[in-house]
Order: sequence, then C-alpha cells, then structure tokens
Amino acid sequence: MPAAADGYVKWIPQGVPWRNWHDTVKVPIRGVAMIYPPTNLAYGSASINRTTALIQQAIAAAKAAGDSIRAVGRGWSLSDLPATSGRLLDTGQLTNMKAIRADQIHPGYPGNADARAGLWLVQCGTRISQVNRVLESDAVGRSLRTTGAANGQTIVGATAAGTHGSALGFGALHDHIVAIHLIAGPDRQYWLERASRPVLKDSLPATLGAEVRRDDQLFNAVLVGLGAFGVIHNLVIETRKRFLLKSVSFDKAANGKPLLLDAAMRRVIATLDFDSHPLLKSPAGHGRPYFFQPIIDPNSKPSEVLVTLMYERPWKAGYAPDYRLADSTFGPGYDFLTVVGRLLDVFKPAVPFFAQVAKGQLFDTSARTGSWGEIFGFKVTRTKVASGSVAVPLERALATLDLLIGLNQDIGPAPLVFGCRYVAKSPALLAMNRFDTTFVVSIDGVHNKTSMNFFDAIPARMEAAGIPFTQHWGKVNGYTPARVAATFGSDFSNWVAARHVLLPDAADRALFSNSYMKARGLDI
Amino acid sequence: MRPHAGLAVALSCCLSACASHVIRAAEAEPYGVAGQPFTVGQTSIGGARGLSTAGSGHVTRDECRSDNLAEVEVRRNVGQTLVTLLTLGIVSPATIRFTCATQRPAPPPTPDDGL
Repeated sequence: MPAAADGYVKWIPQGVPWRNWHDTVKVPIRGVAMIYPPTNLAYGSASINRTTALIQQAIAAAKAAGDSIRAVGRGWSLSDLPATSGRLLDTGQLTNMKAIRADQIHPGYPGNADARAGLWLVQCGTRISQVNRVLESDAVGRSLRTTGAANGQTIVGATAAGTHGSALGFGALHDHIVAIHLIAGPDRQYWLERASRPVLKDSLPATLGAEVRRDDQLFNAVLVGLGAFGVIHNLVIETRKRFLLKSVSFDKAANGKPLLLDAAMRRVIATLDFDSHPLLKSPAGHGRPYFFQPIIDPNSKPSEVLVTLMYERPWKAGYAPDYRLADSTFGPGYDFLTVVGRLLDVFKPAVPFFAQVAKGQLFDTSARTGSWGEIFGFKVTRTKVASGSVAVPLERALATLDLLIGLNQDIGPAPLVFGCRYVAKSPALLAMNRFDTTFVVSIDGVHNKTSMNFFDAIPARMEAAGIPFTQHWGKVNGYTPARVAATFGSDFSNWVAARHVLLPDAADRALFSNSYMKARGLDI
Repeated sequence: MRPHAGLAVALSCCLSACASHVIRAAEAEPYGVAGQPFTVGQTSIGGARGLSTAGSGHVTRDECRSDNLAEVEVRRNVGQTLVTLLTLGIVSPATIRFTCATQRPAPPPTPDDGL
C-alpha cells in the first residue's frame, strides 16, 4: 500500500446535497474524489506525473461506476456550471506553481524578453490569492494583468468559466494562458498550445507523457472549456512585471451632490474619453487609467454612480503588500446579505436603502495604493449573493444600461447594482469577451426572488432590443441551446468539433458532461 | 394563534431558524471538500464535549494535512435548538463546519528539476 506522502485519492460519499461556495446552487451528488497530492516531492515532472495518475484513477473509478465526473476547485461559480449528479473531483489541494526557465522555452515562442521572463507553470487548484502572493513577492517581481473582483477562485475554475476584470486594453483572466495540460480520460492526456504561439519545448510535455497538440482552434476551445474537455491539471500563464495601482473612487460631484448618470458620465462610459469629464480627467503624470469601473445604482432616481479609477504606478522598492482581511468592528456579519435577501422579498420598499448597503458590501471603494493582489483581495461576503453579467459591444453600452434600468423599473425594484467593466477581445471560442471592446455589466446584489426574476427577464429584453450579447458562464445566465448557437455561431460549432477531436469516444464526452451543458446544448 | 406569535413563527421560518457563528483567519485561503467546509457533529453533555463524530476532535491531520484552520463555524438547526431547550441545556448538539488553511508555504520561485 502506498504511503500517504506519495499522494492518494480519498472517496467521500455525500449523503447531503453539494452546495457551491456562494450557496446559490444545491444539487445531490454521489460523492467527492479528493485528490491528496504527494508531499514528498517538489513540484516537477515526477510530482505532476504522480498526481496525474491520481486524477486518472479517480476518472477511471467514475467511468467504471457509470458516473459523470467534474473537476471543482473552490466551487466559486454562482451558476451550476461545475455541478454534477455524479462525482466531483476536488482539485483544491493541487496548489503549486513554478517559473519556466529560459532554456525550457520553445525557440518559436514569439514573446519578448519580458514575456520570456514571466512564464509560470501553475497547478489547477492554485487560488488566485496564491498566484498573486507568489508573483508579487520580492523573489519573483511579477504580476497578473487582471483578475476578477475577488481572489478566492482556483485558477482553472476561474478561467474555465471565463472570469474577467476591467483592465482597459487587456482581456479576461483566461487570456493569460498560453499552454494547457489536459487530462482527457483515464488513459489520455494532452499538452495544448497554439500553433501560432508555441511555448515549451516538446521535451517537457514528453516528461509528462502528454500528447503535444499545437493547434489554435483546439487551444482556443479548451481555453474557456467549461470543464467539458476533462480535467485541466496544469497551465502555463504569461505574467507582467509587477506594478502598483493607485485607486481613487468618486461618489460625489464637484458640488458635493451625488454623482449621477448624466450626459457627461454617459459619454465617458460609452467612449472611455476620460478627459471629457472634469472629475474623471487623469491627474498630471498619471496617464490613462489602467482600470475603470462605474457602479450604477438603478434604484436611485436619477441613477447615482460610483466610479473607481485605478492608475498604474511603478513598484516601490521595499514595498510589502498586506494581503490580510481588514480587521472588523461591529457591523454587518458574514451572512448579512442572505438575511437581507429574505427580508426584502417581504419588505420591497426597503430595497433602495439595502441596495446602498449591498454596494458597500460588494465593492471596495476606498482610496488606496496597492498591488493587484492587495486591491483585488479576499472578500468577507461568502454566501447567497446574486450575480450575473451581460456583455455587449462597447457601442451598445448605453442602450444596454438604459434597457437594464428600465427593466428594473418594470419588474423591480431589485436589490442590485450595475458594475460596468471593460474587457478586450479574447480568441477563446466561448469567451464572454468576444467583442473588440466588450462592455460588461456585472449585476450584483442581494439574492432573492425579485433579483432572480430580473436575471430571468434580461435575455428576452436584449433580444427584443436587437442587442448582441453574451453572459457569464459562471454566473446566473439565460443561455439556451438556441441562444448559445446564435450568440457564438461558428465558434460554437468549432468548440463542439474540438471536443469531438480531443474526446473521440462518446462515453468520455458523457463522462465530463452535466445537466448545465445539456440544458444549453453544449453536450452534442 | 395570536397575530404576534404568527409573525414570530413566520419570521423564524423566513430566517430558517438556524444559528450560525463564524470565526475566520485574516489571511484566509481555505479549502474544504469540493468548496464546502468539512462537517463534524458535536454534542455537549453537561457543559463538556461529550460526543463527536470526529472522536477526540483532532480532525486536521487527516483532513487538512496540517495543523492550521482557516475558518470555524458553529451551527445549530431547529432540531438541535429544540433538544437543547428541552434538556435545559444539559444536552446541546451543534454542527461544526471548518475549512483548512492552505498547507504549504509559497513555493520556491526557481525550478529544480527537468520541469
């Protein structure tokens, strides 16, 4: 019998339904296969191979039992994307990362010197918080270009669902990825890269026993793969030189009154012309903002806006990031929004007040300077938040905002706020950020019936208005088979074709499927 | 039933009539099982930790592979609260939910073998 230090799979049958981290999904499952990796090996080919064998052991057991199996890290998604009625494969302890050496890089890699210095191999269960902490250390001196608003997700969980931020001119979190190590069954594994951007020499994936496939289409399919291609064990990401962000927020105009969604603000939102707005004009020497996020309260009349701007600043020698949660005093507790959500279904007139509270809970708007990992750090709020997104081409930004505000007036008030974010286009076939500049309205707040009704009504309204849109796979969304096919067109059929190439056996495709995929016509 | 009692019952149902108390670490990188906390049932008898589904309660070696916890939550549902009330607190069951803190320090920044 192997020693525990060699790593093992622990099968934990589940007598109670599985719930996601935010407590918005509750499904009965057969059980969880916990992957406990070896502790007697440093992260390298031997350790990876042993862990791959454990993952394949868990997949084989599921296949033998006729169960589906889906990898899950933190269960951070607010939708039932990772869920299954079969087995969950827990990757939460596969938390290693290491730099790629210069001599390991493929001669055809087109990245410049800075890119070559910033390639990192990251294991699937590594949390964004850990990636930030390692990269931003003095020993490394690197940084991610963007993340979501929080850092609790695992890197594969977040990227497989298409998580994004609002870094102007850069894409989503998955757009850091340049190589993927995919476990596609009990006896099949791939090392995927783009043909147009080879990254590692073949000798390295060969040490893993992985079949190397350099193919743009296959890579871009798995990049936002929704867990449908198997278990992603490792990734290679590109990072950038570390930097600081100076964050400033405005909720008052120059006259001291609330900042409103007036003509000047609408112009900035639609054009990103910051110089056109006296309050949002960049201070001398700051350049164009790195990050921009207006948050609109649709329950105030006229709509009030809270704006966060962040400017890139050089890293200061000796700067030590503080990643800790802030000390708490008496105030809203851990599950505050859950309680509020239940009460607001009964006391609807209180919605505008509590929308203000939710805004404060969900968005950190204090002025500060810090590293990326500090500013987009831990969130206290864990349970029962409502969250969904609508993404459109930038030129349809104002029409979309007006539509959503009107929808809230018609069926609300819903205890939600609208956070506006900007994401550059991704080559990933099923990326939410598929428009040249994708304007994303992140709709967040209190989870209750009114909020859910609001989310349910969005797709039909958008279609009636003729606005092309996508939604976040990992949040509440209204995707149907027809909408997926219409939204993604040939990219969707190419995604399906890629799945058939990498998983040629129907039984293996079924192994990694779930009801979420079937309901959206993705499992064909 | 009097209106006030009805309102109290309705509010109690609305809020699930559960109790939840949480303490978490400031640098929380918690992990549990598939994103959920590990769960242990404990019953206090006469003010002492009488019974536990985790035996002596030393759970972290097997579950966490370290001695560090990220978060501990004590929960009581309606049934557990009722047992506590009916026994005047002599028997007091609760559910302990915990997550482990990440077991490893930040990995070294330089590679050390073929990969």
